[in-house]
Order: sequence, then C-alpha cells, then structure tokens
Amino acid sequence: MTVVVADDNHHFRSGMVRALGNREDFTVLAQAEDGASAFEAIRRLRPDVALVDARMPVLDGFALTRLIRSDAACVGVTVVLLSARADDEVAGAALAAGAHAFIDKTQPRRLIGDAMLAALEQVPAP
Amino acid sequence: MISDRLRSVFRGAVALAVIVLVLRGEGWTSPLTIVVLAVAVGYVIASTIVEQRALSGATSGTTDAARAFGDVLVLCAVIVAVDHPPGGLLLFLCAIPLGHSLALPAPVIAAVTATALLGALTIWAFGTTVHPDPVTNGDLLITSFGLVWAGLASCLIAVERDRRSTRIGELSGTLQDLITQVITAEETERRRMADLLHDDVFQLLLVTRHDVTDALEGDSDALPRAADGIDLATRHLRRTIGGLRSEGVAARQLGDGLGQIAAQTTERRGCTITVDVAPELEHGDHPMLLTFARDLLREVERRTTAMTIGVRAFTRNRDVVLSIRHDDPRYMGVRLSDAPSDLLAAVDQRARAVGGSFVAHRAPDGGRTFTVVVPLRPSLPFPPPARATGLRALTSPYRPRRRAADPPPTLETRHDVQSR
Repeated sequence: MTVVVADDNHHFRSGMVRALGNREDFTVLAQAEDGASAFEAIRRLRPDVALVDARMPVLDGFALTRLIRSDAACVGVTVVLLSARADDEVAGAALAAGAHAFIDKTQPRRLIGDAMLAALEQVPAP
Repeated sequence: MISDRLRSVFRGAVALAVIVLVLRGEGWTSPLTIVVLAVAVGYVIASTIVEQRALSGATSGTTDAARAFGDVLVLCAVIVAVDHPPGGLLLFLCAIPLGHSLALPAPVIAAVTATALLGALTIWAFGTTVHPDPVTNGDLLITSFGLVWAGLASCLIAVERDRRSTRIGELSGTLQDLITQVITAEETERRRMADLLHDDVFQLLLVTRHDVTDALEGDSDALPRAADGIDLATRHLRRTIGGLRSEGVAARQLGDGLGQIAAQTTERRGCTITVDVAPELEHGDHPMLLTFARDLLREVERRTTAMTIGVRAFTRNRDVVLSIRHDDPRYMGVRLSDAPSDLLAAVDQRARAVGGSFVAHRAPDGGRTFTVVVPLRPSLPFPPPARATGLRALTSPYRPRRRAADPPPTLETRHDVQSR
C-alpha cells in the first residue's frame, strides 16, 4: 500500500513515516507539511492512501479532503483524516468533507496503520 | 431625575412669588381676576403633578415645550387680569426660558423667549389702550432687556447641555467598542495559548507517547527517542512559560520584545526572521505593537509556508509603523473577515480602536506584507537612541522536507542571533 503523509508537525510526521516505513505492507511515497503541498504530491503520485492531519497551514485537512475527493486525478485515493481532537463533531466534519475514515491521532502508530488498512479494504474499487 | 424635580420646585416657587406679588397689590379683587388667578394656580398644580408622575417614565420633549408655552400664556393672562399690575410682574417672564433651559433644545427656548417677548408687548399695547393702569414704557424696556439676556443664557445652557450629551453618547459608544475589543482580545489570547500548547508541547508529548508504545511493543530504538521527546517537551514547556513571562517584561523595550517574539517563532517554525527596529524605538515602550507583532507572526506561522520573514518597526510623522513581510506567494489570507477567530480581523479592529490602521497587501515579488500604523503616544517619550541599530537575524538550519527520500528531521533546532 502506498501512502502520502501530510502533517505540519515534523516530529509527528517523521515518526509516522518511520513507523510506516518499518512495516512491509506500507510504502511512503512522500510527506508534506501543508495542505497545498500534500495536494500536489497526491495528484502527482496517486497513492493508495492519503494520511491527512486536520490542522495544517495553507489548506487544512478538511479542505484538502474535499479537494482530493472532487479532483478526477485523485480518483482511487483513500483519504484517512487524523486529529488529536477526537470527538463526534470533528469526526462528523471529517466524514462530511469526504474522508473515508477518521482516526484519533493519539492512538499508537501501529493502530493508525491498521486503521488505514481497514479503511482501504472497505473502500470499493473505482 | 434630580434636575427634573428641582425644575418643578423652581417652577412652583416662581408661581408662588407671582401670586404673592399679585395679592399684595390692589387690583386683584374683581371676580375676573380671582377666576384667572384660581385657574392659574390650578394649572400650575396640575401640570406639576403630571410632570412628577411622568418622571417615572420617559419625559417627552413635546410635553416640556407645551408646558413652557403654557407658562407664558398663563402668566400673561394673570398680568392682563390684574387691574393694577406691578411692573415687576413682567420680569417673571424671564424665569420661564431659564427654568426650561435644562430640558428643552435651544431652538424651542428661543421660540419660548420670543413668545414671552411678544406677550410682554401685547400686555403693554393692551394696557395703553384699555387698561386703567397700563404697563409703563420703562417696565417694558426692562422686561425686554431681561428676556433677551435670559433667553440668550438659556440657549447657551441648552447648547452646552446638548454638546455634552452628544459627547457622553460618543464616549459610551467608545467604551462599548473598547469592551468589545477587550473581550475579543481575551478570546484571541485564549485561542493563541491553546494553539501554542497544541502545536508545541502537545505534539511532542503525542510523539513521545507513540515512542513509548513502540518501546513496549519491542522496538528497542524507541525508548531513547521517547526520553529525548520528554526532554524536548519539557524544554518547550519551560520556554513557552518563560516566553509568556519575558514578553511581559520586555513590553517596556520594543526592540527586545520583538526580538524575543521573533526568536520564539523561529524556534517553533524553523524559519529565518530579520528584525529591524529604528533606533528611536529600540528602547521604547509600546506593548500594543508587541501584541500586533505576535499575532501577525502567529498568522504567518499558522497559515503560510514562509521561510523568510522580515519585521520592521519605524516612525513616520507622529505614527509608529510595524511592517511584517513574508515570502509565501500562495498565502490567501489577505481578506479581513469579522470572525472573532480571525487574527487579522482582531488586529484590524484593535488598530482602528486606537486610531490606527492595518493593511495586508501583496508584495512586488509575490510575498505578502502586513502593515500596522498606530499613533505614537506623546505622553511616553522615547529615550535617546542606543548605539545598537536593532537589526537581528534569527536563523535555523531546519528546512521543510518535501521528498520521502530525505532523512528524518532532527529534533534539535539551533538559533543564531547576530547583530548588524
């Protein structure tokens, strides 16, 4: 499974990239620190999953999700939105924006990876 | 409320004095005079009672004007009804515009004065033709003179009262604006604190928690990373607290304050910030400018990918100008909104509240520039310029990674401060 990781916090981003890189079922294609850079990378690389943080500069995760879901070049990309504020309101906003899954950012990295796999399995092929 | 009651007392006293003066004379014994006097007394008592009852609610300007014209009419009727009116009775007409100067606007007072003058002339003309003991020319002259002066003074009182009332209204509006600004600033500060803790300490603790979990699951490399993360989070928390304190201390020195705010932004973001403070402002006291700088740098930090930021503070005429320029051409947040969470809108509101201005515009090379102009406070003169010119360059080796092939970033960040 190919992944693009987008998060403005480089500590979290690098840790997530390292954790996913250690797993055989993931290949990290790119990482981005803001929504606009992430969108460019996703359009260019067309990963299986875009792991997107809710709070990012330039474009936040919700706007980025809407862009991905409305762009023909991004068909087939599964969007998984992350947030440390894991309540029903944020989860509802994530799903309303078009995210395929919403994950609590405080979960262990392994569980975040497993949740990405589960989300990808649930999404029907385009 | 008190002035309205005093006005009623004053009016009753004038009416009593008129009655006493009439009763001391010789011409009040005819039936017509007695009836007119009784009607006048009844009018004064009734209108005073009505006025007192109206005090519990909103008094009407129309009612006050009607009462003033009614007073003129009743006093003139009493003078006409008395067979031998004393000359001093006419002078009581002067009390009417004075008595109503606290309630009526200047044009109405002028109209009341003119009506009283017309009444005095009518009494004089009526007396010379049919009255057995007419009002003399001297009485008319004195009364006219007194009415003109009383009317003029009453109009001036009314104008001054209106001016002060308008000023009080303006000050009340300003006070409401300031209260709104305080509430907005408090809300903005609360959000800023939440962002600060979220972006710095919380993210570090989150990553540390992940490392601890990985270590518990057998990743031997994760434990040193977790220990480093705890150290880093502690340092960030200490620096955040210290930064908040030091900003308050540095509020007395604009140059130091801007330098500290820029250093904190550099540490969080990893960008290059150049601070240039004019020598005459370097040691000046301008805490509001520090607040503007902090909020604008926060906006740049949160919503742009700018890596080069320039902060300038200088004087222009009687104003202090704060200019913050960044190099992100994709930044779109230049349209101000009324949303309380919008930092730019909050800066704009605060700048306008102190008589200044705020603009955000595109720089010729594609970046963006924020410019805040606020008045230089004349009551707080700046000390003589220091030797240092105030230019600082704050740099960090960290640059954002855009390719997966890049090595992971180090958790350490260095900051070099150099003087020009």
